[in-house]
Amino acid sequence: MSVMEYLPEITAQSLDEVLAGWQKEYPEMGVLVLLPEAEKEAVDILQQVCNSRGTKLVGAIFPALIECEAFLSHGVWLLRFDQMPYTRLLPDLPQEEEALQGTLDSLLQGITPHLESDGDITLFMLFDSMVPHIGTILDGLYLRLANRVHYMGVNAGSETFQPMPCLFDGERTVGNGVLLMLLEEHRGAILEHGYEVPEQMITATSTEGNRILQIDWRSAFEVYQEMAREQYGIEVTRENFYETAVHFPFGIVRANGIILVRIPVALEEDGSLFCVGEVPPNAVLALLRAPSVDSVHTLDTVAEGLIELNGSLDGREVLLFYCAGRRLHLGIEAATGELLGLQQRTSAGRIAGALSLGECGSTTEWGYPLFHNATLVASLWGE
Amino acid sequence: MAVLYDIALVIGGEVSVQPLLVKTLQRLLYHTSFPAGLVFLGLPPDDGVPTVEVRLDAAVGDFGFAEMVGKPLTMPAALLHGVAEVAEAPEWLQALPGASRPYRVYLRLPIDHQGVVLLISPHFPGTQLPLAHVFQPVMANLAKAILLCRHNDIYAAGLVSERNTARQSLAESEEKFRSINAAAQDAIMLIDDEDRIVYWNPAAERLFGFTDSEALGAEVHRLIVPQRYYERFVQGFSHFRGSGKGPIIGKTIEVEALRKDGSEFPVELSIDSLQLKGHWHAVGILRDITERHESEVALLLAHRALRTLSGCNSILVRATDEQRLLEDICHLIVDTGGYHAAWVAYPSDDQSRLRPLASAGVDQAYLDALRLGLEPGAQDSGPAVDAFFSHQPQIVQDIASDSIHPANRAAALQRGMASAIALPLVQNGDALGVLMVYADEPEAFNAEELGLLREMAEDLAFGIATLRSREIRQRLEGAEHEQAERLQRALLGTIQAVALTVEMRDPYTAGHQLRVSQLAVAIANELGWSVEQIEGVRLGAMILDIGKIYVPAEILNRPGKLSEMEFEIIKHHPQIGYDIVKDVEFPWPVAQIILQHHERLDGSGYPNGLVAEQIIPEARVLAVADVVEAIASHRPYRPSYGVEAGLQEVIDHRGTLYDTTVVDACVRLFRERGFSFD
Repeated sequence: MSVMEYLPEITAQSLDEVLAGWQKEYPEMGVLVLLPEAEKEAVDILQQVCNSRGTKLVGAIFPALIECEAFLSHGVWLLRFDQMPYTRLLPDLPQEEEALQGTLDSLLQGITPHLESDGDITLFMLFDSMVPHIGTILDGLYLRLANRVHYMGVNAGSETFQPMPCLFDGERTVGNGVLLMLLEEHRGAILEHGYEVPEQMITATSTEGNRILQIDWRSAFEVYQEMAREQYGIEVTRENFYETAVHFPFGIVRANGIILVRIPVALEEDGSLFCVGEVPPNAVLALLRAPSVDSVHTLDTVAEGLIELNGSLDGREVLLFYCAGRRLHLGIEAATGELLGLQQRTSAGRIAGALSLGECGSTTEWGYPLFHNATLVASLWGE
Repeated sequence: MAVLYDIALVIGGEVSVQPLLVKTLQRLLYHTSFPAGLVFLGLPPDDGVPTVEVRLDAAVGDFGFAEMVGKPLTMPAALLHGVAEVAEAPEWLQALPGASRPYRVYLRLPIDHQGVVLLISPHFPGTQLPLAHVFQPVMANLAKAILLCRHNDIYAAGLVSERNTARQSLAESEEKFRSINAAAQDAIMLIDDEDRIVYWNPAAERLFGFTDSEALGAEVHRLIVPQRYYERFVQGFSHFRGSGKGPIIGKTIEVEALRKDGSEFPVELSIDSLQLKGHWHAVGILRDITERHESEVALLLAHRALRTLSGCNSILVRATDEQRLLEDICHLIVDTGGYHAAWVAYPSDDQSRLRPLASAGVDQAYLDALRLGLEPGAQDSGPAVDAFFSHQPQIVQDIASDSIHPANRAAALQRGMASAIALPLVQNGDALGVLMVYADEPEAFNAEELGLLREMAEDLAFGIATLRSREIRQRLEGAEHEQAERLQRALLGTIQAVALTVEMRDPYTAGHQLRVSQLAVAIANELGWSVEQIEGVRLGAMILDIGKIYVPAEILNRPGKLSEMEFEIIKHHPQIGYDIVKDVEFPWPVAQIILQHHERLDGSGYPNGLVAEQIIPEARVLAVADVVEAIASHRPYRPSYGVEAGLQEVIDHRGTLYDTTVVDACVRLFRERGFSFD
């Protein structure tokens, strides 16, 4: 019996049948649900069915689902926990520093008692993509938990970046929060984007969370337009911003040459740019020429990383999150190609996942957890 | 350059060592993807020893190390000392105390003269960039930043310490202030220079009924000052606003205050000024003096009643006339007691109504108009009539609102009477009359005052009864006295008749008893005896020899010296006289006088040979008088020897036969006072 079940049609009966089958063998089971944005109304049914069965439920709404090599906008993924792990759904994360530290301390108190086992534990985080300071939250969590857990996370929400309650459990559907899960006997995820670093750097002189107000002390959009024009001969306007910007994301440059991608997704009247993911004040940015994505390197890195962590993936079930911005940039065909390439490289029995709006993790095992864009995040599920 | 810029900005943005180290480590891990980093400051000099003990100052990314922060770790000296480098040293790293992962690779970044940063990882970093050199330029900045931050930490710690001390002191002070103010029974308030209440303690809340939130910010004079005083207080405060001075600043006064429910009550207000941030504020302490006020009023009333009662007793003691007594009492109640008016009424002769007999403080027209009917079922009877019948005081605390006794209300109010008390004058279960007392103010008669007034009414009733009984007694006593005098006169007449009879049987001694009586009375007077005692002496003397009535006349009348036997017969006369009069009830010891008048101090006398004090004084006086008169008078058996011979006889036997004082008095009478027998 697979630990992953995709239902193309969401009905109470089909849900109940799957849960009934699982529950027979795993009475203490729980379920993680991945729901495409188009099926967001199905949360009610999911909660009703799970509650009627006494099955613990957590889940999130994403722009689309991944089922092996395909992106799907309908249906639902039911991912089984043989035994429901510790989870916590926390809405409305505070932004003010002192309140945030208090919230993190509170999270730590909840998590710490579950870290007693010697085995690997992964802190799996599903954020609402509208949370503007995920990088800060990651820093805070890492400072508190350090290497006691592996870090793996993705952002849920609408691909339109309109606020939408996208995290849920058996009783609530919330926004602007995070859903935490402690996956026991889990060795974390592999994360990779393959975006290359250009020569020219700029400095984000003024930022607020995920909003870049000024670059080099000038209007962020003006500089962005100028750089796109100078470096790539592209004319970015207010009208074509959304379609164009996804191909020319910002990269936050790091000393080891590995960059963090920040895809601008919204343009404000004052010329400031909203990105998926936090941009630290005074961060050194590069304007990435996204077409130079090294897909092969990306897929190799992910597959090899997974194998290195978990051994052969032949026939095993893999959880994959694929950045929506990356798909937008590469196009559906190339993106689908990457899915197929990953399936081939891993020989996984099944790949379940969703399009994500930002990803958390490290590019190396036990590496410093960071918030990324444009990546693939992959891990084993259910072992 | 961009990385240096980023880290330099982080370093430059911190002012305290610990956040500086943690954030620097975070940025280094961020840029290198090393999973863990350690910082050691204050390294011992490299003197070749293999391991050194050094304190771990910061750790990020490894929970085991994070737990060791602040503690000394034994570290390989070669790992800490040396140039910036990325190297593989599993033998050192895996043996590190606190390490929770099998680290193999380290990136060492020396901090100029301050310590070292170690980034550690299970793998070599996935980059070809010379990480050891990339960060070296910012390490100098980090060293300077550590120094600055340390100084700042020390400074901040000092400030924190000072602040904590100040806070603690402030907290203690505030706690004391809170405790005092919470415990204070007096309302305490602080008023700013715009008349607004800026502090209001719990007692103020209790006293006035306004909560903290209702009072704070409110205009004090609108809130707690009765409307009629508002303008005066506001005017006074306008002067205070500019100068911090005012007519009541620094003083304690008694004023009326207003509660939330609109009721007024007396408070003692102490007010003083203080300047806060250049503005004058007033601190007011208010004490509810309702009880004290009531006590004072009660004391005043009690004192007034007591004074009246005391005066009443004085009048009662001196009273001889009932009408005068009643008038004096009414005037006392008004003049001394300070009451508005008082009157006393007795039932009329036909018992149809109470009739005011005496009054003070009230006009006759009022008294005449009073409805005081005693007829059964009188519907409009007042408290006086009620008190008369019930024998209980009747109080009308507020005449204006008294619905029970409407009869005389209008006239009383018109004359300024506000409250009244009717006190029955009861003696031996009978109501003699009623005492009515009026006061100017309502509620004037409290329990204590009632008690005292009641006592006064009882005393007055007793006084009246006493006067009445004294009059009766005096009448009776007059009659008795007259009868007694009549009896006494009759008795004396009888005695004189008997004495005359005795004298008639002994013509030689005729007039003897009368003269003895004259001399004896004179001696008793000389001795300062009382009139009563002298009267006894006189009566005794007049019938001194009544016993001689049984002595045969031939013995009494025979001239010449008596034989011994005859004299023996004569010597019985005192006893016989005694026997004659002993059963007559004289108020004086007449029988004893007769019996003892021939006794002598030395026991040589007769009939009983009494000595000294056994002989009553009257008998001692008569003994002297009898002898002096006998010697001075003619006798059948001898001529008169004269007064001097009589005196010489008693002088010669002064102190032996005769009482010395009596002899002396007798001698003085004759020789100094010119006494002589008629």
